[in-house]
Amino acid sequence: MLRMSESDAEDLSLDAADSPENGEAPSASEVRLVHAARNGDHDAFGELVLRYERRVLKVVRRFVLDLEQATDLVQESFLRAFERIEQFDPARRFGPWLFRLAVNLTYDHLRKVRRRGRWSLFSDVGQDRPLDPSMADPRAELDLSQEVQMVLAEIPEAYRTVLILRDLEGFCTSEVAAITDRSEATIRWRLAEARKMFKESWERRERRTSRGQAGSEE
Amino acid sequence: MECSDARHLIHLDVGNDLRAEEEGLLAGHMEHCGECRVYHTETSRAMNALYVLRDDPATRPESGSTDRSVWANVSQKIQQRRTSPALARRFNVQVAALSVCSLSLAVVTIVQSLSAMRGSSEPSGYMLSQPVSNLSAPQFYQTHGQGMPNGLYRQQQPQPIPVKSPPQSF
Repeated sequence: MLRMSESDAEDLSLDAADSPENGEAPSASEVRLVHAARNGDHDAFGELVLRYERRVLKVVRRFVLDLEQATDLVQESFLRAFERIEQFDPARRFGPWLFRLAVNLTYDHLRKVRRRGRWSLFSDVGQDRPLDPSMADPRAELDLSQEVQMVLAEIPEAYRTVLILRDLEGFCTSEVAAITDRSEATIRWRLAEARKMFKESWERRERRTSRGQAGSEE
Repeated sequence: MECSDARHLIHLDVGNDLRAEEEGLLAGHMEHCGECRVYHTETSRAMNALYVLRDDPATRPESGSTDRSVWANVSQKIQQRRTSPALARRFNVQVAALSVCSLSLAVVTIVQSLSAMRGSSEPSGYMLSQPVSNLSAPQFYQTHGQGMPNGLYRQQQPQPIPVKSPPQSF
């Protein structure tokens, strides 16, 4: 079975300390902050923003690589959260509700970009990442990660979201269920299907690559 | 347990998402199913590729992000929305009037076309009581000093009726 790397475990523990969405029940301070924010306390909402912004940005950037666009989406998510905080059920955890807003906004944005791209004469091209000379040559790793990104993009949206939230962001299945507003059984099913789709796509890609290499050697 | 069920569990197992009872079931199946063991290894390998995105610092989403909090901008926008006057709803008379006009125009057009259709399909009382002319078409054209159009004339020509010869008496 696969285990998390040491650095990941460290990261998750840091995240858990920073943001309480990894816990099962909302912390007392979070309940207090949400209650105050619902009563119009501007500073309390600011405290919630500070608690969650890094994690929300991290999730949004899984879907939108451009930092500026991702930051705009995070801002928009918090604005929407502030406007709709009256609709939030305080008996539930704030984190999943906030992440749901952010993920929905991100998908709306992606759909808009896709629609625009279909009809426009020119489309944006992704920027190359600037290389850090102090680091080892990251090209091989980048190639691999780009390939993984491409395979991931082949998976249908509903399944990709679950895969990203569970396997890349480390949310547990109950949290993914709360974020996506689906039952845990549905999420477990989608997770299994998403991993199966990823495996099949990845193996297809590997076969194509090895066939291409064999062809070029001949 | 069928292999298809086992594979569903394998997809969950590679991410440590199995429940205790499912773990037991899968372990029992894998003990005697070599194909599912191979499938498990292959799935784990594919998942390792996926974890490249999670593990690689260059592709971590927070790379390149600044330490600047978004709260300053969010707070500013909240203030802007608070101070800006709320949008009041008003009834737009022009749109309603335009809609009513187009609707009535459509109704009038439909009624007119329906009555025209009815008029063309059955003759009206006026037409029945007032015959246009007692003359036949060739006579009409002769009295009006015009030659009859060729096509019409041809149509009016009496066709010769074939006369049957009487049956031969034997």
